[in-house]
Amino acid sequence: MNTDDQQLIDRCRAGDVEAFGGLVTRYQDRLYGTLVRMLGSTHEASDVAQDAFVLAFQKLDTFRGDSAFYSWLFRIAYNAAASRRRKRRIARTSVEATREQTGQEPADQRPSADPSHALQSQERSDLVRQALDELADDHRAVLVMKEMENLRYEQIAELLGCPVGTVRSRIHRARNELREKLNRALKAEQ
Amino acid sequence: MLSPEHQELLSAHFDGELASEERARVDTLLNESQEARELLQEFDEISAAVRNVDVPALPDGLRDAVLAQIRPAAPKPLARRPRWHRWAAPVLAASLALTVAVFLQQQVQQPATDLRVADHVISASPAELDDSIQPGDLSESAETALAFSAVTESSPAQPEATRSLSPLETDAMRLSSDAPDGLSTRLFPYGSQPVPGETRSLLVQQGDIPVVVNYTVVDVEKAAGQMRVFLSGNGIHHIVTTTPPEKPDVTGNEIENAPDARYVALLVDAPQDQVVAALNDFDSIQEVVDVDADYVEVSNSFGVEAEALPYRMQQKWEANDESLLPRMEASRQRNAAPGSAVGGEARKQEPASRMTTQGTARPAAPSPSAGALATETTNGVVDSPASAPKPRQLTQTATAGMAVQMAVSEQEVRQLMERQYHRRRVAESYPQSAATAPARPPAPPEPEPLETDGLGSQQGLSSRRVKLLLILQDQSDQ
Repeated sequence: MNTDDQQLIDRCRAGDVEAFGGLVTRYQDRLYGTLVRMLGSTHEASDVAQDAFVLAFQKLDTFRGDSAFYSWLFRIAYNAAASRRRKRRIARTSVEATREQTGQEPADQRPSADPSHALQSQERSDLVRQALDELADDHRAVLVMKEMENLRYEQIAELLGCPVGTVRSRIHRARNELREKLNRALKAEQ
Repeated sequence: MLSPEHQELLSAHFDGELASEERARVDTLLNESQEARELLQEFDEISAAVRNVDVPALPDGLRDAVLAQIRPAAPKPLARRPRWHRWAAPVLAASLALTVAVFLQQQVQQPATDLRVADHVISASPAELDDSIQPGDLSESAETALAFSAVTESSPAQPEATRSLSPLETDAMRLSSDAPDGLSTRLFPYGSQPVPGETRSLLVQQGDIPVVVNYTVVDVEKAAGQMRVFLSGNGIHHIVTTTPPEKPDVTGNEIENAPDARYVALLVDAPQDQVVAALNDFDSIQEVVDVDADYVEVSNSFGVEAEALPYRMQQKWEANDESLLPRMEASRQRNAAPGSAVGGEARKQEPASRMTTQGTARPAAPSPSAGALATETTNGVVDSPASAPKPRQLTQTATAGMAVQMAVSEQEVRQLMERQYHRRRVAESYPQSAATAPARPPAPPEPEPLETDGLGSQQGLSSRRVKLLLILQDQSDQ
């Protein structure tokens, strides 16, 4: 495990609550980015991320350090997200709508000297995001875990409590569906 | 055109998840098929597209929000909070009577490695409902329960050593100032599997006041089974729901080595008085308080994936139930019959007094018996059992809910269900033996047998489960 993480964890366990802030700062963007893709809602992603960090702190004594802190944190976040989903079917607020509501600009704006290129990139990103949102929850979840977190099939299976074969099949279907949606969308644009 | 199998192989190949034999097949495929190579290229593009999706910036303040949340709770990593805390707050907010049934002194001998035990058993102090709640804010029953749960430092693990928190709060305050961390560590043994009959303690806070909650570990199967038999025997309509298998990281109260732990709730559809009167006969329960079933449903995260065990009951709840009252009546007659385990000798051994929902000791209530019970209908009219059955519909006003919560392993739930199924099978196969049972009236019609080959494979039940739960959700949402 990352020695910096371990130091922060040790300080937390010794009663230094503020040290946990270091872990939050270190991993909040990564966790949030994955959760937004997985949940399709920035509000929900933000809430789940916060819940996950709080839970992680409360359970810090059970973290044995067998895996990286972030992996452990991500499991907590995924389970917290699943728990929220069980509790209520939240009408998803699209990322687009959130941007309009909050006025926040995308964090991941890749620099480009060509404004038209930037526009194309933005449009393409919107297309992908929309297609991703349209996937079934379980398909989107496995694909995001694979693409964003680079989890092994076995790890995903363990997280979801399903066979590895199911993970493999879901990822394949998610890719295929995404591919078809994007192809259709691009053709329609042309 | 690539076959779906080939496409899936390519997808797994792209992820580097193929075994050597499959890898060889894919290599051959890629050598021979332009389409396969193009598909692999598309997978690459899709992967990049997903990773490059623009995401609005994380709102400022997450770090501060997290720290603000954990600062006052700093000691609590050492004191796990029971899961029901999550739904207890809304229950309080709605000024509903408080929870909880407390099972005590279950004398069960089981090996420590057996997962069929409940750790966070059924019992907790209302002080855990909300740290910000002060004693004066609590209802009478809550304060009573609080008094039940508080102990002094000198006797931290003795369930009998309870006392009223007020006005003797000074001792509790001293707990806090002395060595709260050391106390928590001492009270809560980590890494050990709970053993039925074992008394455990939990340190929580009520405002600035630390409160020690004692609880007794019970055998889940036995406790749940006893409760169900008892409720049925008293003609109390109920359902049992379980959550899906809990992932170990969801809450702060995971059970060590039991990642498939589930939570069980008994939802009771009966007037409060009837439930309380009946439960006064249940020796293991010290206190019962009602909550609304819809609150249990909503806030206990028994969402659409929750599963109900007694589907026949569930079926009854799904629609206007014209057969419920006759079933209750038949159940009461059975209960009143001589030799009935629930209604017979057990009834006569009532203690001198019991705790009521109001928290005051009172003479034991008369046991519900045939002809004595009344059933409240949805419009509040009280029908005698002898009156003609009326359609009954589950509504918020008619639903009293009792939440009894415990952790249970998936294996155990499966065993319970299979046992129930086989029992019915035996009854169907050997009707004569049932007929020779002493003074036992014919059982009410049984529903279709459950296809029980494990919880995970009961897809056929899903729609029924969902239907039930949607009914409950409608009550709360509208």
